[in-house]
Amino acid sequence: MLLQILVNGISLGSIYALTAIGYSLIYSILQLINMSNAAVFLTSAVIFYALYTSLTGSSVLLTFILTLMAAGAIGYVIEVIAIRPIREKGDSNTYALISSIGVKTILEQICQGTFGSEIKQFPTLLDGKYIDLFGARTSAIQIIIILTTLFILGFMSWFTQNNRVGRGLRALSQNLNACHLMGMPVNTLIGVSFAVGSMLAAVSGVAYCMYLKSISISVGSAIGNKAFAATVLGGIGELKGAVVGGYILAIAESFVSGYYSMAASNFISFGILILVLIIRPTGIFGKKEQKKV
Amino acid sequence: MLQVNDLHTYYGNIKALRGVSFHVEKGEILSFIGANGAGKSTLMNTLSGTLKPKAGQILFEGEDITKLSPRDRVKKGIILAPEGRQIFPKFTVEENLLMGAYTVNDKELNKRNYEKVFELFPQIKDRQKQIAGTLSGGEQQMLAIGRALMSDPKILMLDEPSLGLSPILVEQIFDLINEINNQGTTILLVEQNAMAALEISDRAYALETGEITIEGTGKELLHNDLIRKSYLGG
Repeated sequence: MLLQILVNGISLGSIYALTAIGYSLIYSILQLINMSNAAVFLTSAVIFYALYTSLTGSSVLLTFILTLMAAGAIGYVIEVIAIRPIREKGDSNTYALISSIGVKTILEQICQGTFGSEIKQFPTLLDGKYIDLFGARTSAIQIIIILTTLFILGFMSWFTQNNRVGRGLRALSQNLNACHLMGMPVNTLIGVSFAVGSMLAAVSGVAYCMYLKSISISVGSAIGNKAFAATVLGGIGELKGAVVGGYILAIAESFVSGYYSMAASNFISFGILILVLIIRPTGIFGKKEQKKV
Repeated sequence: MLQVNDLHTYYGNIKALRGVSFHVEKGEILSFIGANGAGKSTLMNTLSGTLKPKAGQILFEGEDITKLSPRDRVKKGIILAPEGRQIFPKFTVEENLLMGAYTVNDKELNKRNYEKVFELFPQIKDRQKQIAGTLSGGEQQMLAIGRALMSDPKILMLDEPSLGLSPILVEQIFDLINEINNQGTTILLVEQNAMAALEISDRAYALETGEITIEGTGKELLHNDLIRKSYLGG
């Protein structure tokens, strides 16, 4: 039972973590909570569904790759259209936040308009296959989600440490002005950060719907809110915080729904969020801003 | 090399530059001295492109660069090592230098500049893998200058490189600026520490509430009565 709950928590945590990285990455650079992230989660799942049922039904992998590319493009375009003009005018981040809420609403409306509001069956992988993991009955899709997430986290770590663009993103989060002064392509890099966040949300969205074997237009805000809570729990602006926060939150939820009730698990995650905000508003890894003069 | 005509820049609602005109000759060290709030940093930020002027013109090697982005200016060879150093505190020394080379695609050139920086600043050579935020103030200043040099600039602009440093370190930094200049980089320097700046400068301007009030060679300004009274403490 214990192990079973843990495995469930880790696979759900993987889904939270991937979306949470997107929130944290953009916050680390612009101090902006990009509310459109949750809608990209949903939109990507809808795109996957639409592609799979109409065009690429034979290949999950091809569908997945096309969905990722679409999500990356959507993220980049969101930045260019809805965020950049506000940034460049030097307006307050509150305007950018509201703009991102606008984007979220528009994307959700488009999804609702094209997809409809009913629950539909979502394609999954290795349906009905289970693996016995030290007594925990683990579905194949759970294993796939966990392994894929580990691979992506490893890739992100390499990308931000050793890749020129990835390192550039970390530089942006430390001192945007210095990045301008060093002649870095700041706008392009910020666009890339939105693309990366969106692609992670896409992986997360598709994975979640595969896990549920179903899709409805409410999945975005449900998971988006949890992922945001995870981001705050880990310390917003810290990528590893987003990951740790995602796993802690999901494992806690998993325990509550395992030992107590499913309905109480939501109560727990947002309860944790409020507690963190009261006791340690910077989250687990977040630090108070310190600047050396 | 650099020609600035009648530059007006606002900083918020404050008119920080009121028609500044000057030129920089190739190979020289040119200084702007002035008190806090005289407009020195505004001038640097306007030249680097992070502040947009209301009016005026900046010509670099005969070309109008007034409307160019900071990135395009760095590519042309103008870079600013800003006030307060603004290094990337969580990056290692090495990563900081790599960020300075973001506009340079020539790997060989990058390697040469990387070695050149450590020849100039052997103190930070042993600290390549150290997190920059843990360096001392003097080392951070060296890193900030080194990072700017990685862009292979024609003009290196320095905003208050002596800020917050001990007198011995100030002297060391100014010797190094002289050395960078001897190796062929034109220097545009902005300083509150007028004495140190004027001693190494070929020419200098005094900036007061956004206007140039006095100009001359470094020596002339060192011996100018007004300058002595206002900036050199009698």
